[in-house]
Amino acid sequence: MDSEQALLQRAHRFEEQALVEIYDHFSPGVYRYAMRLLGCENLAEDCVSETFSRFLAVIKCGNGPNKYLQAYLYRIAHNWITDHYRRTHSISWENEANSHFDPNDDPQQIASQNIDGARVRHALERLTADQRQVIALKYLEEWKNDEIAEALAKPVGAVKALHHRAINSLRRLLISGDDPL
Amino acid sequence: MRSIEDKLDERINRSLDTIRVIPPRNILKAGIGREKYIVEVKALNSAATSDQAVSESLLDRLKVWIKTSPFQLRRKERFSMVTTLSTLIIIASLVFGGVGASVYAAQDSLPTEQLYPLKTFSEDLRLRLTEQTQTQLELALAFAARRMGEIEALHTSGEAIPMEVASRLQKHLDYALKLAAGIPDNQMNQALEQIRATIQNQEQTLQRLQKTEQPDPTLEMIQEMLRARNRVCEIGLEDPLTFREQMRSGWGQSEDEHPEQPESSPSPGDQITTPEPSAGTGPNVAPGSGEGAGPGPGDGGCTDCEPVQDGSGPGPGPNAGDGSGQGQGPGSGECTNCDPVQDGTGTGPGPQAGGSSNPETPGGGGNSEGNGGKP
Repeated sequence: MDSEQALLQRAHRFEEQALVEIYDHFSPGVYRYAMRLLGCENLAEDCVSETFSRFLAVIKCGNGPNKYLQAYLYRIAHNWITDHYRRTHSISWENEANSHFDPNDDPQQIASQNIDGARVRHALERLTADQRQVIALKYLEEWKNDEIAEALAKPVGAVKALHHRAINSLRRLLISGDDPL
Repeated sequence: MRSIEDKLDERINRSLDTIRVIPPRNILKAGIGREKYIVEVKALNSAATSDQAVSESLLDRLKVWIKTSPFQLRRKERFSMVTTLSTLIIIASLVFGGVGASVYAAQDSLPTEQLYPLKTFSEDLRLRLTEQTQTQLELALAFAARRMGEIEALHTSGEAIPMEVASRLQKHLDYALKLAAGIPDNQMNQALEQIRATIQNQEQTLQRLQKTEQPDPTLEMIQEMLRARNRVCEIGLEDPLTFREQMRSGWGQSEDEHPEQPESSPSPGDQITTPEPSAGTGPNVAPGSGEGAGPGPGDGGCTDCEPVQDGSGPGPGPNAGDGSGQGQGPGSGECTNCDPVQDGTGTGPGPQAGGSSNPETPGGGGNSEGNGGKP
Protein backbone atom coordinates (compact mmCIF):
# COMPACT_ATOMS: atom_id res chain seq x y z
CA MET A 1 0.00 0.00 0.00
CA ASP A 2 1.19 3.47 -0.81
CA SER A 3 1.68 6.02 1.90
CA GLU A 4 -1.51 7.40 3.36
CA GLN A 5 -1.09 10.74 1.61
CA ALA A 6 -0.43 9.18 -1.80
CA LEU A 7 -3.40 6.92 -1.28
CA LEU A 8 -5.57 9.88 -0.46
CA GLN A 9 -4.44 11.70 -3.59
CA ARG A 10 -5.46 8.72 -5.67
CA ALA A 11 -8.73 8.52 -3.79
CA HIS A 12 -9.42 12.16 -4.60
CA ARG A 13 -9.02 11.21 -8.25
CA PHE A 14 -11.62 8.54 -7.47
CA GLU A 15 -9.35 5.69 -8.51
CA GLU A 16 -11.19 2.47 -7.77
CA GLN A 17 -8.06 0.62 -6.77
CA ALA A 18 -7.11 3.20 -4.17
CA LEU A 19 -10.60 3.25 -2.74
CA VAL A 20 -10.63 -0.53 -2.38
CA GLU A 21 -7.20 -0.41 -0.77
CA ILE A 22 -8.48 2.11 1.76
CA TYR A 23 -11.41 -0.14 2.58
CA ASP A 24 -9.28 -3.22 2.98
CA HIS A 25 -6.80 -1.39 5.18
CA PHE A 26 -9.08 0.59 7.47
CA SER A 27 -12.37 -1.34 7.58
CA PRO A 28 -11.17 -3.97 10.15
CA GLY A 29 -10.21 -1.24 12.60
CA VAL A 30 -13.47 0.61 12.08
CA TYR A 31 -15.36 -2.65 12.58
CA ARG A 32 -13.43 -3.39 15.76
CA TYR A 33 -14.06 0.12 17.06
CA ALA A 34 -17.76 -0.08 16.29
CA MET A 35 -18.02 -3.58 17.68
CA ARG A 36 -16.43 -2.56 20.97
CA LEU A 37 -18.78 0.35 21.42
CA LEU A 38 -21.93 -1.24 20.04
CA GLY A 39 -21.44 -4.85 21.04
CA CYS A 40 -23.30 -6.09 17.95
CA GLU A 41 -21.64 -7.35 14.80
CA ASN A 42 -24.61 -6.42 12.64
CA LEU A 43 -24.54 -2.86 13.91
CA ALA A 44 -20.79 -2.84 13.55
CA GLU A 45 -21.08 -3.96 9.95
CA ASP A 46 -23.70 -1.30 9.37
CA CYS A 47 -21.38 1.23 10.95
CA VAL A 48 -18.52 0.15 8.68
CA SER A 49 -20.72 0.25 5.63
CA GLU A 50 -22.11 3.66 6.47
CA THR A 51 -18.69 5.04 7.39
CA PHE A 52 -17.15 4.13 4.07
CA SER A 53 -20.26 5.17 2.17
CA ARG A 54 -20.04 8.65 3.70
CA PHE A 55 -16.35 8.70 2.91
CA LEU A 56 -17.07 7.96 -0.76
CA ALA A 57 -19.69 10.68 -0.91
CA VAL A 58 -17.30 13.22 0.54
CA ILE A 59 -14.49 12.22 -1.79
CA LYS A 60 -16.79 12.38 -4.80
CA CYS A 61 -17.72 15.95 -3.91
CA GLY A 62 -14.06 16.90 -3.96
CA ASN A 63 -13.81 17.32 -0.22
CA GLY A 64 -12.41 15.01 2.37
CA PRO A 65 -9.11 14.85 4.18
CA ASN A 66 -5.68 15.27 2.66
CA LYS A 67 -4.07 13.51 5.64
CA TYR A 68 -4.96 11.64 8.84
CA LEU A 69 -7.32 9.37 6.93
CA GLN A 70 -7.63 6.93 9.81
CA ALA A 71 -8.68 9.63 12.23
CA TYR A 72 -11.15 10.90 9.68
CA LEU A 73 -12.74 7.46 9.24
CA TYR A 74 -12.94 6.89 12.97
CA ARG A 75 -14.60 10.26 13.43
CA ILE A 76 -17.24 9.28 10.90
CA ALA A 77 -17.77 5.98 12.64
CA HIS A 78 -17.97 7.61 16.03
CA ASN A 79 -20.53 10.11 14.79
CA TRP A 80 -22.57 7.25 13.40
CA ILE A 81 -22.38 5.46 16.74
CA THR A 82 -23.35 8.58 18.61
CA ASP A 83 -26.31 9.01 16.32
CA HIS A 84 -27.19 5.39 17.00
CA TYR A 85 -27.05 6.03 20.73
CA ARG A 86 -29.37 8.96 20.31
CA ARG A 87 -31.78 6.93 18.22
CA THR A 88 -31.96 3.93 20.52
CA HIS A 89 -31.33 5.70 23.83
CA SER A 90 -29.68 2.63 25.31
CA ILE A 91 -27.69 -0.44 24.56
CA SER A 92 -30.16 -3.24 24.24
CA TRP A 93 -29.60 -6.63 25.67
CA GLU A 94 -30.49 -7.96 22.30
CA ASN A 95 -27.26 -6.62 20.97
CA GLU A 96 -25.39 -8.56 23.56
CA ALA A 97 -27.38 -11.67 22.71
CA ASN A 98 -26.43 -11.35 19.07
CA SER A 99 -22.80 -11.30 19.92
CA HIS A 100 -20.56 -14.23 19.20
CA PHE A 101 -21.61 -17.35 21.02
CA ASP A 102 -19.29 -20.26 21.50
CA PRO A 103 -21.16 -23.40 22.56
CA ASN A 104 -18.09 -24.62 24.43
CA ASP A 105 -18.08 -21.65 26.77
CA ASP A 106 -19.73 -21.67 30.11
CA PRO A 107 -23.16 -20.14 29.70
CA GLN A 108 -22.99 -18.52 33.09
CA GLN A 109 -19.66 -16.99 32.27
CA ILE A 110 -20.97 -15.82 28.94
CA ALA A 111 -23.97 -14.29 30.58
CA SER A 112 -21.79 -12.59 33.14
CA GLN A 113 -19.54 -11.21 30.45
CA ASN A 114 -22.50 -9.96 28.51
CA ILE A 115 -23.83 -8.23 31.56
CA ASP A 116 -20.50 -6.63 32.32
CA GLY A 117 -20.07 -5.58 28.73
CA ALA A 118 -23.50 -4.08 28.54
CA ARG A 119 -22.87 -2.25 31.79
CA VAL A 120 -19.63 -0.76 30.52
CA ARG A 121 -21.12 0.23 27.22
CA HIS A 122 -24.02 1.79 28.99
CA ALA A 123 -21.60 3.77 31.13
CA LEU A 124 -19.82 4.88 28.00
CA GLU A 125 -23.12 5.89 26.53
CA ARG A 126 -23.63 8.15 29.50
CA LEU A 127 -20.49 10.02 28.69
CA THR A 128 -20.47 12.88 26.27
CA ALA A 129 -19.62 12.02 22.69
CA ASP A 130 -16.12 13.47 22.93
CA GLN A 131 -15.41 11.85 26.29
CA ARG A 132 -16.63 8.51 24.97
CA GLN A 133 -14.45 8.82 21.90
CA VAL A 134 -11.42 9.71 23.98
CA ILE A 135 -11.92 6.68 26.23
CA ALA A 136 -12.61 4.36 23.30
CA LEU A 137 -9.66 5.51 21.26
CA LYS A 138 -7.27 5.74 24.21
CA TYR A 139 -8.08 2.54 26.11
CA LEU A 140 -9.66 0.32 23.52
CA GLU A 141 -7.78 1.35 20.34
CA GLU A 142 -4.67 2.47 22.22
CA TRP A 143 -4.18 5.67 20.24
CA LYS A 144 -1.90 8.47 21.30
CA ASN A 145 -3.22 11.86 22.33
CA ASP A 146 -2.19 13.57 19.06
CA GLU A 147 -3.97 10.93 17.03
CA ILE A 148 -7.06 11.34 19.16
CA ALA A 149 -6.79 15.08 18.72
CA GLU A 150 -6.88 14.59 14.93
CA ALA A 151 -9.88 12.32 15.20
CA LEU A 152 -11.72 14.81 17.35
CA ALA A 153 -10.41 17.81 15.43
CA LYS A 154 -9.41 19.33 18.74
CA PRO A 155 -6.10 20.38 20.26
CA VAL A 156 -4.17 17.92 22.37
CA GLY A 157 -4.81 19.96 25.51
CA ALA A 158 -8.53 19.66 24.98
CA VAL A 159 -8.13 15.90 24.54
CA LYS A 160 -6.32 15.68 27.88
CA ALA A 161 -9.06 17.65 29.57
CA LEU A 162 -11.69 15.41 28.00
CA HIS A 163 -9.71 12.38 29.14
CA HIS A 164 -9.61 13.60 32.74
CA ARG A 165 -13.30 14.34 32.87
CA ALA A 166 -14.16 11.03 31.15
CA ILE A 167 -12.24 8.98 33.78
CA ASN A 168 -13.96 10.79 36.62
CA SER A 169 -17.31 10.14 35.00
CA LEU A 170 -16.55 6.45 34.45
CA ARG A 171 -15.35 6.11 38.05
CA ARG A 172 -18.55 7.61 39.22
CA LEU A 173 -20.64 5.47 36.90
CA LEU A 174 -18.88 2.13 37.25
CA ILE A 175 -17.45 2.18 40.79
CA SER A 176 -19.50 4.61 42.80
CA GLY A 177 -22.68 2.93 41.68
CA ASP A 178 -24.22 5.91 39.99
CA ASP A 179 -24.83 3.72 36.98
CA PRO A 180 -28.58 3.37 36.76
CA LEU A 181 -28.23 -0.02 35.17
CA MET B 1 -0.28 2.37 27.95
CA ARG B 2 0.75 1.17 31.32
CA SER B 3 0.99 4.69 32.67
CA ILE B 4 -2.46 5.46 31.39
CA GLU B 5 -3.89 2.29 32.78
CA ASP B 6 -2.33 3.06 36.11
CA LYS B 7 -4.62 6.01 36.38
CA LEU B 8 -7.64 3.79 36.10
CA ASP B 9 -9.07 1.76 38.81
CA GLU B 10 -8.67 -1.94 38.45
CA ARG B 11 -12.36 -2.29 38.28
CA ILE B 12 -12.70 0.18 35.46
CA ASN B 13 -9.88 -1.51 33.69
CA ARG B 14 -11.49 -4.87 34.08
CA SER B 15 -14.78 -3.45 32.89
CA LEU B 16 -13.18 -2.12 29.75
CA ASP B 17 -11.55 -5.49 29.20
CA THR B 18 -15.00 -6.95 28.79
CA ILE B 19 -15.55 -4.89 25.64
CA ARG B 20 -11.92 -4.75 24.51
CA VAL B 21 -11.97 -8.35 23.44
CA ILE B 22 -14.35 -8.88 20.55
CA PRO B 23 -15.15 -12.02 18.66
CA PRO B 24 -13.63 -12.51 15.22
CA ARG B 25 -15.39 -10.76 12.37
CA ASN B 26 -17.81 -12.79 10.33
CA ILE B 27 -16.02 -13.35 7.05
CA LEU B 28 -19.22 -13.67 5.10
CA LYS B 29 -20.66 -10.43 6.43
CA ALA B 30 -17.34 -8.70 5.96
CA GLY B 31 -17.22 -9.94 2.35
CA ILE B 32 -20.74 -8.77 1.72
CA GLY B 33 -19.89 -5.36 3.16
CA ARG B 34 -16.81 -5.17 0.93
CA GLU B 35 -18.78 -6.10 -2.16
CA LYS B 36 -21.34 -3.48 -1.35
CA TYR B 37 -18.58 -0.92 -1.01
CA ILE B 38 -17.02 -1.85 -4.36
CA VAL B 39 -20.39 -1.67 -6.07
CA GLU B 40 -20.91 1.75 -4.57
CA VAL B 41 -17.48 2.86 -5.77
CA LYS B 42 -18.22 1.69 -9.29
CA ALA B 43 -21.61 3.35 -9.24
CA LEU B 44 -20.17 6.65 -8.11
CA ASN B 45 -17.35 6.35 -10.61
CA SER B 46 -19.73 5.82 -13.49
CA ALA B 47 -21.92 8.60 -12.17
CA ALA B 48 -18.91 10.88 -12.10
CA THR B 49 -18.11 9.93 -15.69
CA SER B 50 -21.68 10.44 -16.81
CA ASP B 51 -21.80 13.75 -14.99
CA GLN B 52 -19.04 14.95 -17.24
CA ALA B 53 -21.09 14.05 -20.28
CA VAL B 54 -24.12 15.93 -19.06
CA SER B 55 -24.24 19.56 -20.07
CA GLU B 56 -23.56 22.06 -17.39
CA SER B 57 -26.13 24.47 -16.18
CA LEU B 58 -27.31 27.23 -18.43
CA LEU B 59 -25.36 29.89 -16.55
CA ASP B 60 -22.17 27.83 -16.61
CA ARG B 61 -22.58 27.13 -20.30
CA LEU B 62 -23.12 30.83 -20.93
CA LYS B 63 -19.96 31.69 -19.05
CA VAL B 64 -17.98 29.06 -20.92
CA TRP B 65 -19.41 30.25 -24.21
CA ILE B 66 -18.49 33.86 -23.47
CA LYS B 67 -14.98 32.85 -22.51
CA THR B 68 -14.30 30.38 -25.29
CA SER B 69 -16.31 31.61 -28.22
CA PRO B 70 -13.85 32.96 -30.78
CA PHE B 71 -16.41 35.37 -32.12
CA GLN B 72 -17.18 36.79 -28.73
CA LEU B 73 -13.55 36.92 -27.71
CA ARG B 74 -12.40 38.64 -30.82
CA ARG B 75 -15.26 41.00 -30.80
CA LYS B 76 -14.68 41.85 -27.19
CA GLU B 77 -10.93 42.18 -27.62
CA ARG B 78 -11.26 44.15 -30.79
CA PHE B 79 -13.92 46.40 -29.49
CA SER B 80 -11.71 49.02 -27.86
CA MET B 81 -9.18 48.88 -30.68
CA VAL B 82 -11.86 49.08 -33.32
CA THR B 83 -13.31 52.04 -31.55
CA THR B 84 -10.03 53.90 -31.74
CA LEU B 85 -9.30 52.89 -35.28
CA SER B 86 -12.79 53.48 -36.49
CA THR B 87 -12.80 56.87 -34.83
CA LEU B 88 -9.60 57.83 -36.58
CA ILE B 89 -10.86 56.50 -39.88
CA ILE B 90 -14.13 58.33 -39.55
CA ILE B 91 -12.39 61.56 -38.64
CA ALA B 92 -9.94 61.19 -41.50
CA SER B 93 -12.75 60.39 -43.88
CA LEU B 94 -14.76 63.36 -42.76
CA VAL B 95 -11.82 65.74 -42.88
CA PHE B 96 -9.94 64.63 -45.92
CA GLY B 97 -12.79 62.99 -47.73
CA GLY B 98 -15.10 65.89 -47.08
CA VAL B 99 -12.53 68.47 -48.03
CA GLY B 100 -11.54 66.47 -51.06
CA ALA B 101 -15.12 66.23 -52.18
CA SER B 102 -15.65 69.91 -51.55
CA VAL B 103 -12.53 70.86 -53.48
CA TYR B 104 -13.55 68.60 -56.30
CA ALA B 105 -16.98 70.16 -56.37
CA ALA B 106 -15.47 73.63 -56.28
CA GLN B 107 -13.48 73.13 -59.46
CA ASP B 108 -16.44 74.01 -61.61
CA SER B 109 -17.60 76.90 -59.49
CA LEU B 110 -17.81 80.47 -60.73
CA PRO B 111 -16.60 83.57 -58.89
CA THR B 112 -20.13 84.34 -57.81
CA GLU B 113 -20.50 81.01 -56.08
CA GLN B 114 -19.57 80.18 -52.52
CA LEU B 115 -17.12 77.45 -53.37
CA TYR B 116 -15.01 79.71 -55.58
CA PRO B 117 -12.56 80.69 -52.82
CA LEU B 118 -11.91 77.01 -52.29
CA LYS B 119 -11.20 76.67 -55.98
CA THR B 120 -8.64 79.47 -56.00
CA PHE B 121 -7.13 78.18 -52.77
CA SER B 122 -6.66 74.74 -54.26
CA GLU B 123 -5.04 76.30 -57.34
CA ASP B 124 -2.58 78.28 -55.27
CA LEU B 125 -1.87 75.18 -53.21
CA ARG B 126 -1.14 73.18 -56.32
CA LEU B 127 1.22 75.84 -57.57
CA ARG B 128 2.97 75.99 -54.22
CA LEU B 129 3.39 72.25 -54.04
CA THR B 130 4.71 71.99 -57.58
CA GLU B 131 8.48 72.05 -57.80
CA GLN B 132 9.25 71.80 -61.49
CA THR B 133 9.27 75.13 -63.31
CA GLN B 134 7.76 73.76 -66.46
CA THR B 135 4.88 72.25 -64.55
CA GLN B 136 4.38 75.49 -62.69
CA LEU B 137 4.29 77.34 -65.98
CA GLU B 138 1.72 74.97 -67.44
CA LEU B 139 -0.37 75.23 -64.31
CA ALA B 140 -0.25 79.02 -64.37
CA LEU B 141 -1.36 79.09 -67.98
CA ALA B 142 -4.06 76.52 -67.29
CA PHE B 143 -5.33 78.64 -64.43
CA ALA B 144 -5.23 81.71 -66.66
CA ALA B 145 -7.34 79.82 -69.17
CA ARG B 146 -9.72 78.97 -66.35
CA ARG B 147 -10.05 82.62 -65.47
CA MET B 148 -10.83 83.45 -69.02
CA GLY B 149 -13.40 80.69 -69.07
CA GLU B 150 -14.95 82.16 -65.96
CA ILE B 151 -14.97 85.62 -67.50
CA GLU B 152 -16.65 84.23 -70.60
CA ALA B 153 -19.21 82.34 -68.52
CA LEU B 154 -20.02 85.34 -66.38
CA HIS B 155 -20.21 87.64 -69.37
CA THR B 156 -22.41 85.22 -71.24
CA SER B 157 -24.77 84.91 -68.32
CA GLY B 158 -24.94 88.65 -68.05
CA GLU B 159 -23.30 88.86 -64.68
CA ALA B 160 -20.71 91.43 -63.75
CA ILE B 161 -17.15 90.29 -63.86
CA PRO B 162 -15.53 90.67 -60.44
CA MET B 163 -12.23 92.43 -60.40
CA GLU B 164 -10.80 89.48 -58.55
CA VAL B 165 -11.05 87.35 -61.66
CA ALA B 166 -9.25 89.89 -63.79
CA SER B 167 -6.66 90.38 -61.10
CA ARG B 168 -6.05 86.67 -60.80
CA LEU B 169 -5.77 86.38 -64.58
CA GLN B 170 -3.09 89.04 -64.53
CA LYS B 171 -1.30 87.30 -61.71
CA HIS B 172 -1.32 84.01 -63.53
CA LEU B 173 0.19 85.57 -66.63
CA ASP B 174 2.75 87.61 -64.72
CA TYR B 175 3.75 84.52 -62.80
CA ALA B 176 4.17 82.60 -66.03
CA LEU B 177 6.33 85.40 -67.45
CA LYS B 178 8.45 85.44 -64.32
CA LEU B 179 8.92 81.69 -64.56
CA ALA B 180 9.92 82.04 -68.21
CA ALA B 181 12.52 84.61 -67.29
CA GLY B 182 14.19 82.22 -64.90
CA ILE B 183 14.81 79.35 -67.29
CA PRO B 184 17.47 78.95 -70.00
CA ASP B 185 17.06 80.73 -73.31
CA ASN B 186 15.98 77.78 -75.39
CA GLN B 187 13.35 76.80 -72.89
CA MET B 188 12.42 80.42 -72.30
CA ASN B 189 11.52 80.92 -75.94
CA GLN B 190 9.29 77.90 -75.82
CA ALA B 191 7.68 79.10 -72.62
CA LEU B 192 7.13 82.57 -74.05
CA GLU B 193 5.52 81.03 -77.11
CA GLN B 194 3.16 79.15 -74.85
CA ILE B 195 2.35 82.29 -72.91
CA ARG B 196 1.84 84.29 -76.03
CA ALA B 197 -0.42 81.62 -77.51
CA THR B 198 -2.49 81.64 -74.36
CA ILE B 199 -2.70 85.39 -74.35
CA GLN B 200 -3.66 85.48 -78.01
CA ASN B 201 -6.39 82.96 -77.43
CA GLN B 202 -7.68 85.02 -74.59
CA GLU B 203 -7.57 88.17 -76.69
CA GLN B 204 -9.59 86.41 -79.36
CA THR B 205 -12.08 85.35 -76.75
CA LEU B 206 -12.40 88.88 -75.48
CA GLN B 207 -12.81 90.20 -78.98
CA ARG B 208 -15.53 87.72 -79.63
CA LEU B 209 -17.29 88.69 -76.43
CA GLN B 210 -17.07 92.39 -77.20
CA LYS B 211 -18.47 91.90 -80.68
CA THR B 212 -21.66 90.44 -79.41
CA GLU B 213 -22.24 92.70 -76.51
CA GLN B 214 -21.90 96.32 -75.73
CA PRO B 215 -18.44 97.43 -74.80
CA ASP B 216 -17.66 96.33 -71.27
CA PRO B 217 -15.07 98.47 -69.49
CA THR B 218 -13.85 95.48 -67.53
CA LEU B 219 -13.31 93.51 -70.67
CA GLU B 220 -11.51 96.42 -72.24
CA MET B 221 -9.28 96.69 -69.23
CA ILE B 222 -8.51 93.01 -69.38
CA GLN B 223 -7.82 93.26 -73.05
CA GLU B 224 -5.40 96.09 -72.47
CA MET B 225 -3.66 94.02 -69.81
CA LEU B 226 -3.38 91.13 -72.24
CA ARG B 227 -1.89 93.37 -74.89
CA ALA B 228 0.79 94.55 -72.50
CA ARG B 229 1.72 90.97 -71.61
CA ASN B 230 1.76 90.05 -75.25
CA ARG B 231 4.22 92.82 -75.93
CA VAL B 232 6.43 91.59 -73.12
CA CYS B 233 6.39 88.16 -74.67
CA GLU B 234 7.47 89.58 -77.99
CA ILE B 235 10.29 91.45 -76.31
CA GLY B 236 11.39 88.27 -74.61
CA LEU B 237 11.40 86.39 -77.82
CA GLU B 238 13.46 89.06 -79.54
CA ASP B 239 15.79 90.04 -76.72
CA PRO B 240 15.95 87.53 -73.90
CA LEU B 241 18.52 89.55 -71.97
CA THR B 242 16.36 92.61 -71.85
CA PHE B 243 13.38 90.50 -70.96
CA ARG B 244 15.20 88.96 -68.04
CA GLU B 245 16.31 92.32 -66.77
CA GLN B 246 12.81 93.61 -67.08
CA MET B 247 11.44 90.70 -65.13
CA ARG B 248 14.17 91.02 -62.55
CA SER B 249 13.42 94.66 -62.10
CA GLY B 250 10.04 93.81 -60.77
CA TRP B 251 7.83 94.16 -63.76
CA GLY B 252 4.37 93.19 -62.81
CA GLN B 253 4.16 93.81 -59.13
CA SER B 254 1.69 91.09 -58.52
CA GLU B 255 3.80 88.31 -59.79
CA ASP B 256 5.65 87.65 -56.57
CA GLU B 257 2.43 87.43 -54.71
CA HIS B 258 0.97 84.80 -56.94
CA PRO B 259 1.40 81.63 -55.08
CA GLU B 260 1.37 83.03 -51.60
CA GLN B 261 -1.65 85.28 -51.57
CA PRO B 262 -4.73 83.60 -52.82
CA GLU B 263 -7.51 86.07 -52.81
CA SER B 264 -10.57 84.61 -51.40
CA SER B 265 -13.01 87.41 -52.00
CA PRO B 266 -13.44 90.06 -54.56
CA SER B 267 -12.15 93.40 -53.52
CA PRO B 268 -13.53 96.49 -55.04
CA GLY B 269 -10.15 98.05 -54.74
CA ASP B 270 -8.53 95.51 -56.95
CA GLN B 271 -6.98 97.03 -59.97
CA ILE B 272 -5.35 95.29 -62.77
CA THR B 273 -2.16 96.92 -63.82
CA THR B 274 -1.07 97.33 -67.33
CA PRO B 275 2.54 98.23 -66.97
CA GLU B 276 4.05 99.37 -70.14
CA PRO B 277 7.14 97.53 -71.02
CA SER B 278 10.17 99.81 -70.83
CA ALA B 279 10.91 100.59 -74.36
CA GLY B 280 14.15 102.34 -73.66
CA THR B 281 16.11 99.28 -72.80
CA GLY B 282 16.69 97.84 -76.17
CA PRO B 283 18.43 98.79 -79.24
CA ASN B 284 15.25 98.98 -81.28
CA VAL B 285 13.43 101.19 -78.94
CA ALA B 286 12.67 104.61 -80.17
CA PRO B 287 14.57 107.30 -78.38
CA GLY B 288 12.71 108.95 -75.61
CA SER B 289 9.78 106.61 -75.65
CA GLY B 290 10.60 104.72 -72.56
CA GLU B 291 9.20 105.27 -69.18
CA GLY B 292 11.10 103.61 -66.49
CA ALA B 293 9.03 101.19 -64.56
CA GLY B 294 11.60 100.55 -61.92
CA PRO B 295 11.29 101.21 -58.28
CA GLY B 296 12.36 104.71 -58.90
CA PRO B 297 14.77 106.81 -56.98
CA GLY B 298 15.85 105.43 -53.77
CA ASP B 299 16.86 107.19 -50.66
CA GLY B 300 20.50 106.66 -51.22
CA GLY B 301 20.92 105.36 -47.80
CA CYS B 302 23.60 102.94 -48.71
CA THR B 303 26.16 103.14 -45.98
CA ASP B 304 28.08 99.94 -46.30
CA CYS B 305 28.29 99.17 -49.91
CA GLU B 306 31.03 100.00 -52.24
CA PRO B 307 29.38 100.82 -55.47
CA VAL B 308 31.35 99.86 -58.44
CA GLN B 309 30.02 101.62 -61.38
CA ASP B 310 31.96 99.88 -63.96
CA GLY B 311 29.18 100.14 -66.41
CA SER B 312 28.92 96.41 -66.69
CA GLY B 313 25.16 96.50 -66.65
CA PRO B 314 23.24 95.67 -69.75
CA GLY B 315 22.46 99.17 -70.54
CA PRO B 316 20.91 100.47 -73.63
CA GLY B 317 22.74 100.94 -76.78
CA PRO B 318 23.92 104.09 -78.34
CA ASN B 319 20.45 105.06 -79.37
CA ALA B 320 19.29 105.21 -75.89
CA GLY B 321 20.81 108.49 -75.20
CA ASP B 322 17.46 110.00 -74.59
CA GLY B 323 16.49 106.80 -73.03
CA SER B 324 14.28 106.39 -70.21
CA GLY B 325 15.95 103.30 -68.89
CA GLN B 326 14.95 101.98 -65.60
CA GLY B 327 16.76 103.33 -62.70
CA GLN B 328 17.13 100.58 -60.23
CA GLY B 329 19.41 102.01 -57.67
CA PRO B 330 18.61 104.03 -54.66
CA GLY B 331 19.71 107.05 -56.62
CA SER B 332 19.82 109.54 -53.84
CA GLY B 333 23.54 109.80 -54.01
CA GLU B 334 23.68 110.37 -50.33
CA CYS B 335 26.05 107.55 -49.73
CA THR B 336 29.04 109.02 -47.99
CA ASN B 337 30.89 105.87 -47.19
CA CYS B 338 31.14 104.48 -50.62
CA ASP B 339 34.17 104.64 -52.67
CA PRO B 340 32.87 104.81 -56.12
CA VAL B 341 34.99 103.22 -58.69
CA GLN B 342 34.50 104.79 -62.02
CA ASP B 343 36.73 102.81 -64.17
CA GLY B 344 34.32 102.89 -67.07
CA THR B 345 35.57 99.57 -68.27
CA GLY B 346 32.22 98.00 -68.66
CA THR B 347 29.95 97.82 -71.59
CA GLY B 348 27.44 100.04 -70.02
CA PRO B 349 25.68 102.98 -71.35
CA GLY B 350 27.33 105.96 -72.75
CA PRO B 351 27.59 109.35 -71.27
CA GLN B 352 23.95 109.97 -71.85
CA ALA B 353 22.88 106.88 -70.12
CA GLY B 354 21.04 107.27 -66.94
CA GLY B 355 23.54 105.31 -64.94
CA SER B 356 25.09 108.30 -63.43
CA SER B 357 28.30 107.69 -61.72
CA ASN B 358 27.87 110.60 -59.47
CA PRO B 359 26.50 109.34 -56.27
CA GLU B 360 25.29 112.75 -55.36
CA THR B 361 23.00 112.95 -58.32
CA PRO B 362 19.45 112.30 -57.20
CA GLY B 363 17.78 109.66 -59.24
CA GLY B 364 21.07 108.54 -60.56
CA GLY B 365 22.20 105.02 -60.63
CA GLY B 366 23.60 104.84 -57.23
CA ASN B 367 23.33 101.18 -57.72
CA SER B 368 26.51 99.78 -59.01
CA GLU B 369 24.55 97.92 -61.58
CA GLY B 370 22.78 100.91 -62.88
CA ASN B 371 21.42 99.90 -66.17
CA GLY B 372 20.41 103.11 -67.61
CA GLY B 373 18.60 105.12 -65.08
CA LYS B 374 16.65 108.07 -66.07
CA PRO B 375 19.09 110.90 -66.58
